[in-house]
Amino acid sequence: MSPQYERLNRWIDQLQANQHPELEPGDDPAEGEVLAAATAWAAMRPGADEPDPAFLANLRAQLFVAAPGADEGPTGAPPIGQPRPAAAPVAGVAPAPRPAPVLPAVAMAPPPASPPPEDRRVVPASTFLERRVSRRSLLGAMGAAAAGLVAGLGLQNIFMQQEVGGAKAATAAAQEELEKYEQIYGDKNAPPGTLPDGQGKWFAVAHMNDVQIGEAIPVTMGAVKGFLVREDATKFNALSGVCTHLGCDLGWQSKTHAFVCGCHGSSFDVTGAALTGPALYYVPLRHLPVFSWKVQNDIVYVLA
Amino acid sequence: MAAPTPSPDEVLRRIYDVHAAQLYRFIYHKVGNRQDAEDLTAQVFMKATQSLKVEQDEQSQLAWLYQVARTTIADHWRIYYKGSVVSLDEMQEANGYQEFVEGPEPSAPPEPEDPAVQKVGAILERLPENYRQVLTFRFLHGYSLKETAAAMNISEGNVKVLQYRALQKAGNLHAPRGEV
Repeated sequence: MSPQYERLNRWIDQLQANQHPELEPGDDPAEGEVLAAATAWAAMRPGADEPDPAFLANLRAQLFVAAPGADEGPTGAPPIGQPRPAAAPVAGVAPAPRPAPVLPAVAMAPPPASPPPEDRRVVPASTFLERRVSRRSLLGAMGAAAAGLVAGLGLQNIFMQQEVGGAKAATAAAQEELEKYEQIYGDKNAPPGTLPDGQGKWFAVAHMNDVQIGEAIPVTMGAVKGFLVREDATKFNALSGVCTHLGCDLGWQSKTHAFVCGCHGSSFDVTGAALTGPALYYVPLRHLPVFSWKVQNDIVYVLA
Repeated sequence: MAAPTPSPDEVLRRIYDVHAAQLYRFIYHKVGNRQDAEDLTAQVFMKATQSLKVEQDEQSQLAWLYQVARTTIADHWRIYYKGSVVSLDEMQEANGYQEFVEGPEPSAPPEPEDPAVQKVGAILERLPENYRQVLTFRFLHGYSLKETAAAMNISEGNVKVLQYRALQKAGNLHAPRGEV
C-alpha cells in the first residue's frame, strides 16, 4: 500500500472525528490537491458545517467586554462573573521590561501572578471552550494577548482594545518588578558604562569561558531573559529568550543549534532569525530582539 | 451608550451576531473539521476586534472579514503544502497581510453563498459508479473505512485506493481546477 493512500485515509479519519488533522507535511503537490479535495468533501456531510451554538455564544462572550447594555446578546451568552483564568500557556515569561536602545520593544510580559482585570467577561474554565478549543486557541491566545501587546508583536496583538486595562495592570506590575530588580542587582552588577542617555544598563552575565564557541547559555539581564551565544573566540551574540510568537520562553537546542519554543514549535537560529513558525499555523515571525554586548576583563556584559 | 453613531464595540457585536455563523460555515468548508473551524473563526474575529475599521460601511467590513478569513485559512494550509493548495493570489495576500490590514480598502467583495453544495450532485453524476459510491459513503454519509468497505463489499485496502483516486478525479469542490 503506497504511503499516500494511508496518509489520505488518516486525514479523512481525523476530519471525520472533527479534529485538526495531524499529518507531517508532505512535498508532493498532487497529494496536496487530494487532501484539499478530501477536506472540501468532508465538509459536505449534511449538517456538518453547522456551528455549535455554544461555541458562538462563548466566543461572543470572549470577544466583547462587558459594557452597559451589552449583557443581553441575542446568542444568549451565559452570564459570567469570574475573572479569567491565569494565562496558562504563557509559562514563565520574562517578568519585566527593560528599555534598550537597540530594541523596538524589549520582550516582556506581565508576571504570571498579576491579577486579571476585574471587568472581563470570560467563560469559566470548566466550560466547553476549554474542553473543545482547548489550549490551542482562544484562552491561550487571550492569555498571551497582554504579553503580545507589550512585546509589540504586530499580527499577534489580538484583543488589543480589550486588553488595555490588563496591559496597564501588567505595565504597573512590570514596573514594580523592575524596581525590585534594580534594587537587588542594579548597583552591584552594573559596571560603569550605563548608557549616556540613561537607557538600559550593562549587566554582567557570564565569564567568557562559561560558553563554548558555537554554543549558547541562558542569561538574565535583571528581569530580562536572554541567551548569550558565542560565535568565535571574541564574538558573541546576545538575544532575547522570549519567542516572538506569543511570548513563551525559548530553549537552546545544542543538537540543532537553534532556539526552540516549547509552546508552538517555533525556532530561531543563533543570530535570532526565525527558522520556523509556530507548528499549528504558519505565521512569519519577527527576528528575536538583539542586545548590545561587550567584554571587559573576560566578563561578558549585556546592555538591557 | 445610545448615541447617534454606534460605538466600535456595538458595530463589532452587530457584525458578529449577523455574520459569525455564516463565516464559520465558510471556514468549515475550507478546513473540513470543527476544531479548526472554531479555532480559525475565533482568530478572524480577534483580528477584527483589533483591526476592523468600524467607520466603514458594512459591505466593506464584510469584505474585510472574509478577506482576513481567506488569509487565515491560507496560513493554516500552508504548513501542509507550501504553494500547492494555496493559490498564488492567496499567498501574496498572506504575505502582504500587514499592508492589507493597514490598507485603505478591502480588495474583494464578500463571499457569496458557497456554490459547493450545488456542485456536489453534478460532480457525482459524472463520476464512475465506484467513485461515486466511495465518495458518497465516506464523505456524504460520514462512514468509517470499515463501514465503507462493508457497504461496498470490497476490502479496506481497496477503499483506501479508491477514495484517493475518486478525490483525484472529483477534485476540490472549491477550486475551478476540479476537472470532471
